[in-house]
Amino acid sequence: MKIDISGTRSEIVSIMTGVLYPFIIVFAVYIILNGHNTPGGGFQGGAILATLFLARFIVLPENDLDVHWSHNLEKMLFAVILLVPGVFVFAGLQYHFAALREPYLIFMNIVIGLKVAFGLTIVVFRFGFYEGR
Amino acid sequence: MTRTVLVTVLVLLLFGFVLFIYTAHPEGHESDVSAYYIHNFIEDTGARNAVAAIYLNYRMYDTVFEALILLVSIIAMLHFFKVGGHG
Repeated sequence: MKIDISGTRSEIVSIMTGVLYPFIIVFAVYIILNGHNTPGGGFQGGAILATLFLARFIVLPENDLDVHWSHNLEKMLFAVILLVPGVFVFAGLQYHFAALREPYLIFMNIVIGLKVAFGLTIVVFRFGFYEGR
Repeated sequence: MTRTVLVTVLVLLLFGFVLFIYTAHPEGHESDVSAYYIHNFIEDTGARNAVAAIYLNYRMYDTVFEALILLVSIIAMLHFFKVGGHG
């Protein structure tokens, strides 16, 4: 599915969004990976990562996202979010392996960031292509 | 028309009820807990950001259900969109 954008296409917006792409990715990865040391974290970084797809939607409204695939991936990531703290925090493994506390925080921030990014991307694509027109 | 009025009255009543709960049972400031978090979060969790220490370790349930809310809202959205949804 493709929205007709002939006549509304802007060369300036296209080029500027292409320039912004790498900065968005670097900023999102920075926010996610440094979430345990500086303000930020998985939710914030995931939202920034989702703006990447929002920017792509503005430049090239082409519905080539497989919603079922990304939705299943999001469910799997949520299972990881349930299982890893279940073993590490709730079962008390963190008291025996103190060295794993910081890697645990980084891992959880990455998983939460990916999950939020996939979820918000699905929302953006759904509302962009099926609602509001 | 009566339906709209009924819904409006219901929403306003619900709003008043929630406001009543909030004002009747103010959440006390538990200084012991916050002081414990502030003084011990580095040794307890290995994080240097107290917020990350709380939402990934002390209050992990909060994060789990926060992630679940996003998942459930997307499931509902895919379900209720007629075009291109799951069903």
